[in-house]
Amino acid sequence: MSTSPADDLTRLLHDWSHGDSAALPQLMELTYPELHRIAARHLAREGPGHTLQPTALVNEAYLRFSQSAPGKAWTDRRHFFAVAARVVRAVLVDHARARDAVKRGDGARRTSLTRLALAQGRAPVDVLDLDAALTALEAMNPEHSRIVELRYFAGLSIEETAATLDISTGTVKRGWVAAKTYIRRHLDGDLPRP
Amino acid sequence: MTPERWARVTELFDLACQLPPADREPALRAACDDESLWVEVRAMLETYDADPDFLEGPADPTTVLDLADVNTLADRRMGPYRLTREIGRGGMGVVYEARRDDQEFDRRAAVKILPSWSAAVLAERFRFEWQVLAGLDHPGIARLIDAGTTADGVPYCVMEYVDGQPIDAWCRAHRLDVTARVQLLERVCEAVAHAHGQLVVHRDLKPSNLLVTAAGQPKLLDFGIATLLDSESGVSVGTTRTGFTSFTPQFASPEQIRGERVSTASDVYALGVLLYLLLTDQPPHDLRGLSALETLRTVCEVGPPRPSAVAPPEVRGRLRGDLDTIVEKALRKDPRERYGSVAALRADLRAWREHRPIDAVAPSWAYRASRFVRRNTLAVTAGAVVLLVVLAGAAATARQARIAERERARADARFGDVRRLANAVVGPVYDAISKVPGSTEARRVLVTEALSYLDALSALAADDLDLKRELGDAYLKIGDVQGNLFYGNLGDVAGARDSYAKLLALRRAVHEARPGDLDARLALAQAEIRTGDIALGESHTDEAVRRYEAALAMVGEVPTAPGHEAALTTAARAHDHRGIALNWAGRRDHALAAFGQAVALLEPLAAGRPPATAVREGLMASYGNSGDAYYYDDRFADALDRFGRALALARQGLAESPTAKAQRDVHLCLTRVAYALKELGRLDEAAPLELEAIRMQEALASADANNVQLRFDLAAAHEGLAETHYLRKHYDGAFAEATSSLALYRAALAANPAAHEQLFNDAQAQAWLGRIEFARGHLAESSAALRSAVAAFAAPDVSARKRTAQYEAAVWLGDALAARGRQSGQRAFLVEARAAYTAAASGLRAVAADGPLPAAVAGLPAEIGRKLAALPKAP
Repeated sequence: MSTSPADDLTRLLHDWSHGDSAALPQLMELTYPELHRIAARHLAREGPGHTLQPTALVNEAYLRFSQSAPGKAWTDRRHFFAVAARVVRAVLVDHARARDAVKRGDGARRTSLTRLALAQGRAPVDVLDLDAALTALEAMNPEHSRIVELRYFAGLSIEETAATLDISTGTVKRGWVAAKTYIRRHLDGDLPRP
Repeated sequence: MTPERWARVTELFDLACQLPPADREPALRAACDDESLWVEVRAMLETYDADPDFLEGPADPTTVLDLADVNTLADRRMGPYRLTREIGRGGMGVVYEARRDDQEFDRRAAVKILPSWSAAVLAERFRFEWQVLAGLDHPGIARLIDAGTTADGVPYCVMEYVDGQPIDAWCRAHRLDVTARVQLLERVCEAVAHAHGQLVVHRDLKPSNLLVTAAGQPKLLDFGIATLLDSESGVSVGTTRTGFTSFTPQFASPEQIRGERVSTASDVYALGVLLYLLLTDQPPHDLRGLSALETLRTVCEVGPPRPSAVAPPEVRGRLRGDLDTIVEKALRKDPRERYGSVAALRADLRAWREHRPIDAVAPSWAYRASRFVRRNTLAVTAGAVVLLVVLAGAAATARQARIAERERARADARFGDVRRLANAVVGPVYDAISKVPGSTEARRVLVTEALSYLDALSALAADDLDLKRELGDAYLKIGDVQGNLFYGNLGDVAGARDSYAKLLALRRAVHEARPGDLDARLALAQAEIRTGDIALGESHTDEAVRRYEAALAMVGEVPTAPGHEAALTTAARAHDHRGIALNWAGRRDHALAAFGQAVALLEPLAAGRPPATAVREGLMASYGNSGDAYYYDDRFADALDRFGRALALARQGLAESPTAKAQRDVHLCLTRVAYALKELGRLDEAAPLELEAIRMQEALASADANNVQLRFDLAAAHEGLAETHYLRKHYDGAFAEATSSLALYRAALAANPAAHEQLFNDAQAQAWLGRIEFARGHLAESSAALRSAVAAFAAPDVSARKRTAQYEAAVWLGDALAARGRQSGQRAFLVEARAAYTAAASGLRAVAADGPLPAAVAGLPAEIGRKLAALPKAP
């Protein structure tokens, strides 16, 4: 029998957290179908109009992976969340792309369907624009991009984000406010062009 | 913006944020003299102040994932291709029709858009395999033309466009006969064999991936896409992706379902499923509505009916024999027993078509016999195998004899032989094997075989009432073993329903022919009861009750006196099962009355002397069932009384004949008495009974070392005693029992690591151990055991109760971690405790979305809320 996915996951998480960046695509490959499945199943069960907390999504994925390695206690839980946040981002971006009917560059408007509704009463965010903003942010400060991923795509609190990234809550708070302000300006098209 | 500049901006922004608005500008000017930075930071402050809550609510993935939407990438350009319309969508991407219009000829292609993570995969790891796949050049395989990534990072691949119909639909539309269908599948085999020659496995062969063009050319789609995204190329991740691959269960081999390594033999299996489908117009296993666990069991353990048994009647004759054999060999559970290659399968198909002998061994008595011997080591089984072989020989002779009119006399004699042998198999041989633990499958094979001979005989003698009676007995037994919940069965409820329908028809015919015959009446009543059992198993309790009442009407008035045992036990059984149905329907008082009627019929027969076995077993069942009804009605004193009576009868049975079943009965009764005592708070009385149950199981288990079920019973018994000790606050005793229980589950797990039930038990035992350690104040051990338990819980799709067990364990883990956190002051424990509680809460919400939570955990969500609120805030 082959080794279990959780074994690989544990090993890859270890490699990745010790600086092996090549492990990341493999980690994403390993976790993407499961996260996608959970989200899609949730959707099939609840139907449109219900909300899905990303925290629940990521936790369920974590439980599932950890279950597939019976008898193994996980030490790399926080690394898992870091990967999962990134994968949730990828899942959403893929879907947004798939349904994006607009020929980009033709000047047509993007449909509202690629937009992520925020909490009630707030403006929706276009996930593809958000993705682009995060990519820009990543180039300037990778940690800021990670903070946004964890807060927004995995639904972690400031404290949990701090624990996951192994930095102080103060650093997270400062980074979060600056990063999301940057993203807002990026979305609004307010940034000076280089 | 450069990283350095961004660092500067954030620094100033942060500084300004700490200050009241009026003080910001001077502070900025004082901190730096670069005006462009001031502008930047001012703009950020404005943006932030305008909407400080921006992005504060986390993403709601559902708004983007709404699949109902039809917007597509149509008209988008991928390299030289322009997408024209969406033609398919699956787990691994969306497929579009596309046109290449930079050439003179407008060439059509299919473009598959892949998930974004595969971009890195394609670039870094699969360049080589990609070339291999692109090199697959066979008329039966849709060619892979190109692959790449668009400027904005969308990975895609381009394939030959196939304008065709799924193979099964095509066969139906063109009304192909058996020969043409076999020939078509041979061509599919050629394509698959070509790919295997290039070391590429398809892994997802199914009609929607197998189109037939208007010209009749079958074309395999998606060849290698699965492999590409799911590589077995020795890259470690690739070998394990199977666990999450979206294969199609209907066409997946046992090894795929189990998540084991996939090979060319898996494609052989899928081709076997296709062949089955093309020959019979139905798949080998009906997996609709089955849970993952049931699917696993069905595909991995249950042999499908022969194609000739389920095909449309007009083609059955053509399938019987060689085609049955070919399909059976392709569908073997063990990959090593299948055809060694797709080419070998193709060769046999061709041989069949050309009326040459096939390679696969015909109805394979040796194979069946070997399966028997593997499952049952007892001499009685070996005897049955010998008998079956004799029977097969005799039947073959009878068939030949039937053809030869001039040998009619000899044929009649053979007819008698076959009938006698078939009846022996259904009667004494069957009964003997029933006593062998774990013989369910053996019994099914036996009865199915015997039944096929009796069926053939009944066609020759349509008016023979005795033969009808014998056939009825066979159908009754096969129905029981197929899927009657009151007997050890194979879970084939549909099969059982069919068998009982035939049973009912046969017994009605006999009853109508002999209206005055008491045996015929009782036999018909038994058939009604069996039909009710099926309805009961499907929770159609009203229908079940009607059937049981029909049975009672058929038995009629019987004097409660010795000499009428058969009628009385039949009536008592109808009352008893009726009670169960009423209980399930929530009519508990009516149920108790029905059990009372069963008891009233049987008790006089047991008064003052040892009752006959059937009477004792009937009484024991009814006492036990009424005990259960009282127990679930929280009337524990009454439950204890009934369980006590059942236990006395079970002990009587054991004293008379110490069979495995008798021991198990005593064991079950002991456990129930102990449960009732526990509910009544009489823990000190429960403990010795549980200890007796354990001793008993230990003796049994040591006598029958291979019996896994016994080990489980023993482990469960230890678990029960651990609970009693725990409730008595004898935590050390509880720890010892829980440790024994876990060790037994572990041993069983080592013997069969893939069994979900065992994984579940193992996890549950670990969770218990963790809880007990918590009570003993061993917080580190407790959290370690509970972490391991949470990790060990297997796929949570068994039942709501089982799904909730893991979340209960997560809550316990939270408790242990919270206590450790409070004790040590270490933040990490509190964070992990919060995560455990949160995971439990969200899991329970998911369960609750499917229906009400089981009573035992109904209060858990509120409790988690309180626990989360009480958790100290992390610094």
